[in-house]
Amino acid sequence: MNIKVKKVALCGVLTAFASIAFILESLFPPIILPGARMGVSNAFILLATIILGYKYGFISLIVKILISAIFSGNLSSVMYSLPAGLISLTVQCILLFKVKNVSVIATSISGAIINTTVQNTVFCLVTNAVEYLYYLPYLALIGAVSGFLVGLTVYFSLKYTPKKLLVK
Amino acid sequence: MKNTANTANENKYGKLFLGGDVFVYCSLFFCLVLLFVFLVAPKNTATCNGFSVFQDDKTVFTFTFEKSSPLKIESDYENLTEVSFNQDGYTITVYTNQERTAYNKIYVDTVNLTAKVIESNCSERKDCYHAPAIKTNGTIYCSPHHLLIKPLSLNNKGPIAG
Repeated sequence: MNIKVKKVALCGVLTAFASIAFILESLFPPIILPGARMGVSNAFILLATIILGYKYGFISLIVKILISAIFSGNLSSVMYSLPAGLISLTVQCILLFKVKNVSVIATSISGAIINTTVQNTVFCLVTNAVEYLYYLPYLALIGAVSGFLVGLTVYFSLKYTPKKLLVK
Repeated sequence: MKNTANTANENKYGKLFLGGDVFVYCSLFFCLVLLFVFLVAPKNTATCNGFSVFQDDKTVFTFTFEKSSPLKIESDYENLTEVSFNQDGYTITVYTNQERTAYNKIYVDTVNLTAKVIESNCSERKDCYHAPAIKTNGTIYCSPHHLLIKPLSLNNKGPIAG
């Protein structure tokens, strides 16, 4: 099969998994604080970025955010989740591809904390609720834990997925 | 930037910990400490005077503890608000659309001086419902209904977020 077709197909599958994970997660109550979530969908975005490259990673992220907003019926969430996702994935790409000695887990934790911080800040600016910043340190801490778990998931996925299934 | 990073950096992805992680973890830890120092640690000396509820920057109602008639509902929301009260507090139901199909039920505790969302039909996740009761710190925001609950604080000498 043509390599590009294979890449697009795998990108589509990972984006679908990410969107489904996000929508399923939306059905569960938040962890400890409002807005806190495990971010399981980020594991698929990180996998797409590592396996297929940063371009597919960004496409996967944007499509996931749009699909999730449409299906969860909360289009206004795009306003704060899109800039947060783009900034955090940019930092993750730099750590993955430009910095040599940084592991996937450290990359994932950085992405999670940056995502939470940017999302919370944009959210406060958009909704004019500066008081919400009070929760930011706690949300960032929860983000660090979820980032660690997502990083671990990606690490084991890369370790145990047969190489022939990955695009080369 | 390599597109097929899987082959190029196989060693990098095959390890749980690498030397550069120390710098990343230290930087993140430092950022987290800064966030706690600036946003949580300063003592909030404010006294909670009541709560304001907004929808899309429009005030829905204001609840003031010190007044004899504590609840002031804005004229636009008079038909969209229902109030019931007992000796411990007020339950205020706010309908967030004209069809009165979307609502949030807010409980203002006049004994503990707190506010909390006790019922909502906003989404399956219900972030607003699971938010802790607010007093002088924090706020509650219902994203699907664009409803914001903020404390009215006087003499606020605490952090900007509190």
